Amino acid sequence: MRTSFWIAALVLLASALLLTAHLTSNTLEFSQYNTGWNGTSVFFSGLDRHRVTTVLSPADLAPYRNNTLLLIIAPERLPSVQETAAYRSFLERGNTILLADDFGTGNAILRGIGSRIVILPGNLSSIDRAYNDPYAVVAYPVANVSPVRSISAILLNRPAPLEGGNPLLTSSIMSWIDTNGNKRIDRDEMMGRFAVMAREKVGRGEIIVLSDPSIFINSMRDPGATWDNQKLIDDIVNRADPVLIDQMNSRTTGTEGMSTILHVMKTSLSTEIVLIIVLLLIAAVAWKRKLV
Amino acid sequence: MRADAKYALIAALALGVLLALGLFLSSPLLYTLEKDTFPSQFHDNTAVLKMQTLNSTTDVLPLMQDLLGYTGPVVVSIRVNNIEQARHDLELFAKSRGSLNNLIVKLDMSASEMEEFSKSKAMQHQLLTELLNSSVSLDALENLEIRYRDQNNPDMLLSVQYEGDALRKKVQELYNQYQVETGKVTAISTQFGLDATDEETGLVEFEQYVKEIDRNRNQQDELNRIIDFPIRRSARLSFLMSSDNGVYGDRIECFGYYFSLYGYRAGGVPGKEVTVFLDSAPVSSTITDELGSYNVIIPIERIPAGPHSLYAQSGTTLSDIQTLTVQSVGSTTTLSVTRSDNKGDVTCTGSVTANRPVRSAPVQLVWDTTHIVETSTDAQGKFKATLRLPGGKHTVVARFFGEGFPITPSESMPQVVDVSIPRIIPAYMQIIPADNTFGILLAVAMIILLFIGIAWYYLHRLPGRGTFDLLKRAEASSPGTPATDLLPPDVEPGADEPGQPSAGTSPPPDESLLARYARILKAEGMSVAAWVVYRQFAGRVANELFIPKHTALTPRELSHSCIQRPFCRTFSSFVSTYERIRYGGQRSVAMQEEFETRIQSTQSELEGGSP
Amino acid sequence: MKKKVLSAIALFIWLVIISVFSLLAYRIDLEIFFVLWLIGILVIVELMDTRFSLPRYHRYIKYLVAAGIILFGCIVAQKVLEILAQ
Repeated sequence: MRTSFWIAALVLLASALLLTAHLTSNTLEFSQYNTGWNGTSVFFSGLDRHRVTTVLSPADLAPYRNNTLLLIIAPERLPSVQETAAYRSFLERGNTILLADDFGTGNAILRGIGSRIVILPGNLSSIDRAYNDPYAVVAYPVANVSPVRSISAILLNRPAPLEGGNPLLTSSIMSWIDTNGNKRIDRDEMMGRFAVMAREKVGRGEIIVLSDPSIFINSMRDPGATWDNQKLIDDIVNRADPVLIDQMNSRTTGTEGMSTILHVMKTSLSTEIVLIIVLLLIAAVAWKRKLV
Repeated sequence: MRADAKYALIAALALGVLLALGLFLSSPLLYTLEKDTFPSQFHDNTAVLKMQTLNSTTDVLPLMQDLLGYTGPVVVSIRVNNIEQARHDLELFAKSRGSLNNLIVKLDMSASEMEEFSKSKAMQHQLLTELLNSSVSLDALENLEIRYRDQNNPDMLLSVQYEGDALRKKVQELYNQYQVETGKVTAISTQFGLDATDEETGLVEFEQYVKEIDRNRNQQDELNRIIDFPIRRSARLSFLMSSDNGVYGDRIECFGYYFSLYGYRAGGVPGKEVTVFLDSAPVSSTITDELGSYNVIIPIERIPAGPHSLYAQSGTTLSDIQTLTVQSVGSTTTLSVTRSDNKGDVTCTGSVTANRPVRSAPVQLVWDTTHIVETSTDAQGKFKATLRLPGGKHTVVARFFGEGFPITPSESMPQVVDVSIPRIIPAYMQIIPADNTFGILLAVAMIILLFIGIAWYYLHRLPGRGTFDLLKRAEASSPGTPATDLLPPDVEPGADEPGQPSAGTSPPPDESLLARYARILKAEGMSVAAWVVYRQFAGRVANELFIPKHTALTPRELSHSCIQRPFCRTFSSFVSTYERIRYGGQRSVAMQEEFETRIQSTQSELEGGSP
Repeated sequence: MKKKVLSAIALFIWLVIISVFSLLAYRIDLEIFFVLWLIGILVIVELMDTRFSLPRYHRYIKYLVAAGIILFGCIVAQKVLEILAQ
């Protein structure tokens, strides 16, 4: 009898764990709860809680004076007026923003803060590639500036070309923009060098634009020893000064269904307290029964 | 929890799981790696991509840089008249070009600047080869010129000079084309940051070379006006042509005499080998006949349009140089494309015709303006080629460039072909007609019935019966075989039942039941012997009545379940006697006799009834 | 250990093994699972069989196996249809 009890308990525990794991993760692009290949769960779980803070509303940006880095990863919608104003004043105080976007919504942010860098639409393809897909472009540094200071080559995944600013990372000379999406070079597509990471001084601060947020996803975290993706991300995140992660307008906050509930539970203190009290009550009831 | 509740719960859970599984009945493949890689517009799943690292700075640009370094040295070698070195370098050049072309195909870069670079390089290679040949010819002509001047042969001299002029003009043209190609190459090289200084050097050297040969020409002209040596000739070869102009397909008859002068007498010399040269290249050879004359027919096939020089040579004797002017004619190219077959093969046929069908002409079949297949016409001017096209609509054009032919280029009308590749059913699977609904239903029904039959057999097969049992049953039906065959093989002596006869002695084969009974009776007693006989009969009865696991039944139960058979009554009375002996312990002699009688009657009933 | 418990444990272990292998191969296919389960249960039923008695747990399991065989026949028929439909 006791054996069957233990076996049943084991099975229940295993199923509870599995259910939790299944319900808390999702398959949304770039989501930090997505443990699949296209989520950013590994990046977020590797962040040092003491140094990295999340920004949930434009007012959270106010206290930071200078030398703070704000990471905006894959913005999903056009920014609101307050957000744009907050970004602009954040830059005015001498901080840095790193915007990673290849879908084009970042252009509105760039326009709003007064930068001349433009993320061009188009599939950047190159002969320098890591897989037999011309969209897996390899980019090389062209300036010896942080964060690309000690990097030799970066692997990107469907980047977009950049225009404007001072380029930090560019593709090789044998790259082109695939306008018709057939993954080949056609007669009307010219070869040239395209920037994928550029910086520009705005006010007292600096805006760095990286036209590929896909370097943060789980399957691109460690593409191999040849490419310094890991090093680049470490350089960005492990600065001595505080690092902020934008969670107002980013696909990394993506949740749906059950995971929204769990996310709310995790983030809001009051629901956590209520949950703990309920669990304690259940444990007390069960214990009391046993004693009797 | 009560046992019923437990089982009810398990049953409910199992039912729930089965229902959940039933939801997936239509798509049993729940998860594969391919399914996980749903197409995302932001990025590709690198786990399913094939790893193929390429680096332009290490894989592509060095190849291109390498190619840039060949042309300069070749031109220098030609200029200093180092023919062997130049040829060797041109060969290496061709090989390197091959590797770049392979890389272009592998990377599918055929519409890029790399391809233009490669094409310009190919053109340069061709131009340099022609330059090399022209240089060799110019040298030969210079030697001839010196000889003719020494021989004081003004006609030959003039002809040689004329040919030399034509060659120099050709070299000038080559230079112009080379300049254009080098310009393209240099532009692309600077775009990619390659070092094109060798190209520039080559171009400069080429220009110098052209100037040099012109200077030589002018110097020779000066010399010609001064020197004139009279020298006696010893042998003479004459050369005449039937016509001095022609078009493609015409046959020019060339004839002449080889005669030698003895003092003032001239006699034809037979048996001399005469070779006819066209533009300093031999085209035909023949032997003079007994009169010393020779006759050669030169067809105009792959001779470019324009003036050409023809002369004959025998040994060291050269004839006069005659000029043949070839006029170019227009051509038409036709193309027809058959419908595609199941694999996507289309057959392209057509012809190239000028004033006559053009034989052995190179024809390019271009499909979708980028893919080129080379073929050539046969002796009737027709060509035929098979192209393998992918699915979809394609345009095919046949082009004839007329290079080396005195024919203007032409191309055919574009033909459009629509290729659709159906899925193929291998022939062996076409037993069941695929478009016949009834046939399909019949096949499906047959398969399901087959498996139902297997399930039925599984359910109703006799316990412990192997496949060999069926054979043994057939043997048992033949008369005279003793009852040992009737034993179900799973009932072995010495198995898991108590009170067995000693296992050591296995019954000798072909022993009859009664003999066995008698033997065991003597060895081990009445009870055991009775039991052995009962087992025999019980096995036989269970076989007849299809009773599974008859050994789990008591004798009385077995006899009660024996109904509607002729041997049932005798078996029942046998069983009652057996019970009395085995369980009742009655071992008297009368009992024994009664038992033996019952054995015999039961045995005869059982065997009498068996078919 | 009693045969009843042993056969249930054996079936459980067999199903866990095939689940683990399907996870390792990144391929979860119900048809493969079902066929392997059928093989497992056939083997176990044969091994569990006793010569002289018919225990309660063994009495009706043959009908389950027969149902499995018929379902297997349906899968085969479906595969044949798929090939013909190409």
